[in-house]
Amino acid sequence: MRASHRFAAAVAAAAAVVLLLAGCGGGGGPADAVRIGMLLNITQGPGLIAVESEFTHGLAGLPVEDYLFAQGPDAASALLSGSLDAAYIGPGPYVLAESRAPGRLRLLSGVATGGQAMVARPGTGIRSVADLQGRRVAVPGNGNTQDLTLRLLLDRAGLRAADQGGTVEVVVISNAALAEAMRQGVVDAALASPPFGTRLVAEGLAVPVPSIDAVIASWRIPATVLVATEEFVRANPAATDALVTANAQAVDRARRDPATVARRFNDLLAESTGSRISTDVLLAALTGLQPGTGIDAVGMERIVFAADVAGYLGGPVAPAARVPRPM
Amino acid sequence: MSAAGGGGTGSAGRLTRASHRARALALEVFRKGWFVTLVLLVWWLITAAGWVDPYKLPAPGDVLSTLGTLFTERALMSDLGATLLRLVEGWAIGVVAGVLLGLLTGGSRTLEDGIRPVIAGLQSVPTIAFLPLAILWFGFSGTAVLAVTAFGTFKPMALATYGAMHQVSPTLLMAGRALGARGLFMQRTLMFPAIVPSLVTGLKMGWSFAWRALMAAEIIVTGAAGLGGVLELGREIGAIDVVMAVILVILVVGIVTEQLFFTRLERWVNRRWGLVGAR
Repeated sequence: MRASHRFAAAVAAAAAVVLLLAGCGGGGGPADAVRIGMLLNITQGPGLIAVESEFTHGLAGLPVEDYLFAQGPDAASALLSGSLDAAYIGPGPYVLAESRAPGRLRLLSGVATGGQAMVARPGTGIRSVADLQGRRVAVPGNGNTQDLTLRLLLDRAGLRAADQGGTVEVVVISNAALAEAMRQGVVDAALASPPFGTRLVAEGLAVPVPSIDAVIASWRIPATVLVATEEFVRANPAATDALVTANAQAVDRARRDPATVARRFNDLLAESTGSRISTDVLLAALTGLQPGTGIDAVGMERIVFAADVAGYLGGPVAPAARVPRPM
Repeated sequence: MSAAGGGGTGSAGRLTRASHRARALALEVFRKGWFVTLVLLVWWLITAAGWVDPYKLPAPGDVLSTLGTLFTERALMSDLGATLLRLVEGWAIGVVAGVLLGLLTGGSRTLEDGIRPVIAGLQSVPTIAFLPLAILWFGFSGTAVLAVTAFGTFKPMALATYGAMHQVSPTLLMAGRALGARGLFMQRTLMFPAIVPSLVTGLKMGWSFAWRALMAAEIIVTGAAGLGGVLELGREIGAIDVVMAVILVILVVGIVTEQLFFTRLERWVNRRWGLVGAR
């Protein structure tokens, strides 16, 4: 190929990339369906049960398509890329997405608060946050609610994570790999997503740390929030209203009947992995969780503060973005 | 006069030679840099015009700034060091094991029939599929990542070595035997020089497979220091500038390795075994 031809080919390729990137993003018109993402996590109980009841008749005439994600950041990326219209995610991924793409998402409602539990490997002697000094502590992902809560705990105890010059090594270990990591002694403690921490305790791989759990519970940190894309909300106000109403109904049902949440979670777990978790373990994990549509303002502030301390924020999170704006 | 004239001619000649060298250098810089410059220009143009949201495609300057921050505040150098060390170790282990098995399968019909199809079949299994097994055997640590990296190198290296042995010209072997070459002498003086150029190709292939396996494993086993963990951190916190900065580092390492090591090794092998003229 001659030099001029090579140059022309490169220019054509570059132009194609420009066109491709310029075409990124979804359309802004009324939707054909409401695409809702959620995680297979018991704090998402109201969302999980809404799929088989409140959402089955659609939202303002639009059918609902539900998608399961492994991690909150994945669901947040799907929202920002236009692959989802709404999602049940933790406040951590929401805050981080809002800091990097201000005004693209809208916090519609609270879903549940609390539920986080610290567990420690037996024999480590971990009884307080101060005991985490020099230890390896697992969280399910960077920037998720557990990671941010752990960093908040460390900050309040005058400790720092190793990646910020401190002594506490925060390691990311998926829920699926956590039991093996505990068995191998790779980690000393874990702030796991419910019910995976409770399951470790039930299997004898870990012991609870009640003093830390009490501190976390007092902070009223939101566990799950309902978020939609601003584009969807503006183009589909009736469906957004219906979504907020359906969520409130599902939250109410989850509060009155935790056993439904446990059964639904287990059904989905069996569909995904072929395994189930004991109902007793699930109900135990649900005792610390309070379903509710409200979001504790101070709890949300704490998450923003922790994200800032960790250096995860891409920019400031506007005060208006920290409170629910249903419509 | 003549001396002065001679001096003038010499000076003009030097100037001409310097001018030729400068032009050659400029041409070389253009040939090697035009594509990168074009990509950077298009990238900058897209971001400056606001055609794509910054959270999807940050500006080149922002990525460079993030890169600087990662090096100064997030200890990216130690992550880079850990990854490179793991890469070199895993690659070296995989190369030694692969060459040994390749030589054995290439030299024995029984081993060839039994082992080669399995290795060839394993090539279609993504190396990362073995990570759960490696975690169980070696723990949730850098050792599991190293094992997967070594295995990622081993497969292409074994096949490249086997292939190299089978591509040696039968005429060459017959000529060697006719001249009395046998056993180790035959291997050292005839077989080895004949397979070395193909082995270099295997080394390069193994290196790229090692990179792939290493990055995939480091993204999953994030407890160990490494670029994969930083890449995953960027993905998880939605910081695409961090992701692009790490990709940039990997790209630069790839270019430097190719230019400083593999290209030179290839040239040396071609010169040493008289293959330069054959190109």
